[in-house]
Amino acid sequence: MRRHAALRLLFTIPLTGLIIAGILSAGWLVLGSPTVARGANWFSVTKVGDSEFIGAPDQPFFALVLGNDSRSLEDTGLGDAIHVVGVNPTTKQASILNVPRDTEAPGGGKINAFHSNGGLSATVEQLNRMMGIEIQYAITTNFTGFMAMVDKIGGIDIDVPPVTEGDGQWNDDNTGAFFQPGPQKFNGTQALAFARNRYDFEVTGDLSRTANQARLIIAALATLRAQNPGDTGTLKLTATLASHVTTQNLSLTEMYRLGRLGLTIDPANVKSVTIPVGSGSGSNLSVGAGASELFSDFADDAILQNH
Amino acid sequence: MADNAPPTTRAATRAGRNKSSRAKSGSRGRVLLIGGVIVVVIGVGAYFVLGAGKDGPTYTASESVTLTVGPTAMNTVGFPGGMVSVAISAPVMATLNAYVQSAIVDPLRKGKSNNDSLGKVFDLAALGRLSGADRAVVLDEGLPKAIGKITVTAPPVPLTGLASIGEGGASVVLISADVQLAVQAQSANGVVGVTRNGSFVLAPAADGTWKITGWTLSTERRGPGTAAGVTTTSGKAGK
Repeated sequence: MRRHAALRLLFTIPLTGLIIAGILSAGWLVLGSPTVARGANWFSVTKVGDSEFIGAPDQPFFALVLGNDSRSLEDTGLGDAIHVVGVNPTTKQASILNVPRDTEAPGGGKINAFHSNGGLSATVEQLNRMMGIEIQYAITTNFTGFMAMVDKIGGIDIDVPPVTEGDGQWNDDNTGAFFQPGPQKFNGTQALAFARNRYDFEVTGDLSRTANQARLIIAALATLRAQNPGDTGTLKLTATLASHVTTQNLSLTEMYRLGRLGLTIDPANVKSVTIPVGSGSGSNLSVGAGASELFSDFADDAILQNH
Repeated sequence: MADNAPPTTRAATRAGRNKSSRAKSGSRGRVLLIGGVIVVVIGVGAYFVLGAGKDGPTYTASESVTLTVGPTAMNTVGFPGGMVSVAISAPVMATLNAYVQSAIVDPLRKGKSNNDSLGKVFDLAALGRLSGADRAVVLDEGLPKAIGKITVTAPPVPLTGLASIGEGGASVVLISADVQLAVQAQSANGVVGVTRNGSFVLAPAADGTWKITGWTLSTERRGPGTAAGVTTTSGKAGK
């Protein structure tokens, strides 16, 4: 009996397989032969890639970022926070040259006065002559606009450096800069106080202040990058920025494209250097020794390689 | 009766029964074998009768595309937010639908895109970018040709605008469209699938249409023949 069952099994299994194979063959032939293309895999998922096209400049360029001390939109104000930003889109690097406000301009007098007398274009012209570059874009904001922008983007995450001069504290009554060193988030009022404070730096004064302003710019870049705004978020940021600034040679579309490009740059690839200055006539600061090498390094590809 | 028979007779009877059982089993096997052969023959017959010869099965070439507007938001410089008007969203969606046709459906049918059609969808700078490595991410070229239905599905497309207000009124300068496109196409070798996620940025052209002027896209493909022509490109830092 057991032998009988074993024999039946012996026949049934291969025959069942044969029938199933027959059905599959029929289905295969009727529904289409699934010939796998040469080199292709069935059911594989292929990541084709990521592509990002912004339409921003692909050549190195320079931009002036200027903070003015005007309390109203009607006044141009003194250009007290002067930063020339060089961007190299190919290498995704940027450099910031910080210009102390009392620096003597090539046209004579303090550089900050050119904004109150001739606006952005006058300041750009002086900086072009000073550095041997051609600034393509310029942007400025005043106290109110700066604070509103910072608040609108949700604040700036910044690592506040320790004060190494005077009493070693951030406690300036003039600006309201009362901070503990270390990582923190600034609202608009705090960011402005940090950017304006020079009295806590008894020795270096405006030189430390201008360096801290660049630190704030880089911190803002890092904060915005962390939000990963993409195309849509950058459109919103552009509207916020454009609502609080005055520009030169910068359309709304260009502002978006430059902003989008800026957000592709890792803050670690942004170098900030304050131009060397020495004693000049009166209270002016003269462009100091080593400045011409710095400007040459900056002018060739918008990036500081040797500084 | 067999039980009362002598042992020698019982043994002979058992042997006879086994013989007959083996014979039954053998005939069942033959039946199954014949059945299997018949199924194969039917299959082969159907293959030729239904015309699935060298040209493969017959499919109806058709398209199904569903791209509709999702939530919209307008960011106007110096003014509170609003929505994207139909006067803007309609031509923007027309361009996105034209993109689906010229960058997805047409290349899937013919193997490559038509440059004239692409010129109506992308602006000059974007077209220039398509001559490089980004082409494979943006266009579905070089894949097994679709012979059946091509289905492109997407959730409603959110639109975000950027505008300023001047003397001539509001001027919308850019629109971003967030897309999640899923494509299925029947090729001779099986179903080809494409997913393309990200966003397009569109700007108004002089002729009143809107053209794609930028994008951030990520593309994946699956199915037979989709590994060919793969390139990996990136304009993003840190990638």
